[in-house]
Amino acid sequence: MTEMPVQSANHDAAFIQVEKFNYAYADHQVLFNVDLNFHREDITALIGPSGCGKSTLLRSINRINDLVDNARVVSGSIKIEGVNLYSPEVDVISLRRNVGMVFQKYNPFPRSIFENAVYGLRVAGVKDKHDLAEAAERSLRLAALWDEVKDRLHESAVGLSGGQQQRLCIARAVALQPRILLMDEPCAALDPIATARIEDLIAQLRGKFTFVIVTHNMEQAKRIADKTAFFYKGKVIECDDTMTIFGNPADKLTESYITGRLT
Amino acid sequence: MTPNPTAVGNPFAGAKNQQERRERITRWLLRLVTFFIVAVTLGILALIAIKGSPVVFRSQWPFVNTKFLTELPSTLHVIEDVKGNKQEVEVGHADEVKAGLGDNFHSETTISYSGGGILGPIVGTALLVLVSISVALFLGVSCAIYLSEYAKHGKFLELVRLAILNLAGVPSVVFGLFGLGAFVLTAPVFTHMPMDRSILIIPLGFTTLSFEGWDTCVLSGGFTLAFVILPVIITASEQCLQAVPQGFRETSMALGATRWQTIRYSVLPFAMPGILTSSILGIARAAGETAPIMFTAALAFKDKLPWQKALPPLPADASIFAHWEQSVSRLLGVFTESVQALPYHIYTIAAKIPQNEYSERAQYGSVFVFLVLVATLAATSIWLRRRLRAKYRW
Repeated sequence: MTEMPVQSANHDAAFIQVEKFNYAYADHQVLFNVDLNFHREDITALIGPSGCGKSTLLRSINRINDLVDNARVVSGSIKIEGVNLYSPEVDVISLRRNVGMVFQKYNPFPRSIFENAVYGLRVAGVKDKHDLAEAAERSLRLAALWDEVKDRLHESAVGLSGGQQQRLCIARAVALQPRILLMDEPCAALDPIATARIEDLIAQLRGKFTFVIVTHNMEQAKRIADKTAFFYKGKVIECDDTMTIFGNPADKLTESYITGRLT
Repeated sequence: MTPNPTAVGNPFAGAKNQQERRERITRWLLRLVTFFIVAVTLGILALIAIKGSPVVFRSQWPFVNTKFLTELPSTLHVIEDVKGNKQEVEVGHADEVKAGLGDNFHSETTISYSGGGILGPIVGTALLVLVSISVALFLGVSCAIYLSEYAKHGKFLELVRLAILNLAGVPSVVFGLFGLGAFVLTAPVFTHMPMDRSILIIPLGFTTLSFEGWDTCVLSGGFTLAFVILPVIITASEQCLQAVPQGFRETSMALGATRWQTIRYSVLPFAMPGILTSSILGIARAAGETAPIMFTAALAFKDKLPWQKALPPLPADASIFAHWEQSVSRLLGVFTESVQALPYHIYTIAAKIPQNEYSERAQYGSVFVFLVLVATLAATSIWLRRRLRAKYRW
């Protein structure tokens, strides 16, 4: 079908490496010496209380946090396949084409469903109508939305339900065939049924992308994630297999957080 | 504790004391002031409508005084015969009528600018507004995009905002003098023969660029007015840009769009309805300003429309291209002509000529037309905002 990452021998090799990563907004440091490895084709969940820096880390992986005033890397690095994202040779635009992102609040542009799906291709300069139509269908199918919208591709995306809008946002992100998909609380604004559909979708896409998902919903992390990292006050407290984190956490803090006793 | 209903009766019955009376007086005072303001506003509108509408409307078909709306202003001659009958005559026919009256002729009064219609001022104002809004939108939206999308928060940005705020507070006559100095006397033009007073002459080979000004014309006036409304446009545009959800920007950039692509496809289109709406209010403001155009564009009187400039007649065998060229130069020449403008025309007939019933009629007619034009613009702006809001909701 499409050019997907091949199941490789080095499945467990670190694909995204975060090394001694320190990040700050002006003088307010939010990440301290973060060391994390995200494995190829894994689904990694980032959990932790609000303000613990997990979103900041996620948004540093595609450097979208560069848009925030005064945000800066203090020291350390994030590497994808050994390339430091913050080195001057990295072109932010092509980085972002390779790292898709889905935001918490589903926010399709108030344009047609089709235009939303092909936005990334359009700004990349794809003009051929046939290519665009093909990409739109492929990504909408991948996001399990095609059957629901194929007859009204040219209607406004704002008319879709919340869950459909979020799946459209996923379609929009996968249209560029990125290898990594970042999700910032993708279900936070959705009802339980729509949430279940998104989780199903993520399960279907397992192995096609390397997922990094920030979530506040621990049940969700348990259901979908291979690995889970627990953040607290800007530090990684623990990162392990999801089963271990939720079944037998090594750290007291982790245990009190997942049992809801952390204040 | 439980109140005893038999002993107390109504437990909330308070004494009608001094405090309560003071409260009531204050409320009525504030209410009266508000009513007073409304009454004054309505009074002004009613006066203009009552005195102006008879000039503009007619009781018979086509119900509108077409002469008033389609003719240029001219001098009105009022000829009185010995019996006291007054007759209003246009310039050209005065002598004819006087001769016809013969010995019955008693006296003749001339009232400047009060005859004919107000087409000249209407056209002039329309042209000034067209130029000013184009210039102001281009400059204002560019500036707002920079301030909202590119500039980093800091001292410099504060300074720029302060400057814009101050620009809004500058008296309009100062803009007039600025326009006189900057556009009428120093703006650059391409010419083969630079004037003596040109400040700087740059030879370009095929022609010279001479900073000798554009003279009093639509272009000078339009640019001056543009600076008058620029603060309004910048502030409104910036607000409209800020109102576009930050998520659109992040999503667009996360999909690999450059900053300019993001602005072009995902910010500006959604801010445009608001920008256009507020710019219509800018139009109303530009149309109403008198001081900025007094020295830069407007004439008290002009007997030609801007496109009626005398051009050398073409030879009979002139090619189609020569005709075409002349049409184009006639069209573009519109912007280098001085014009009459409604507010300045009203000022002239209200303050510069002796007052009588005839000049008053012209005043109220012009004011009424002016008011209707401005009200139409405002109404269009509201209508547009409603329509576009419904279309671009998120």
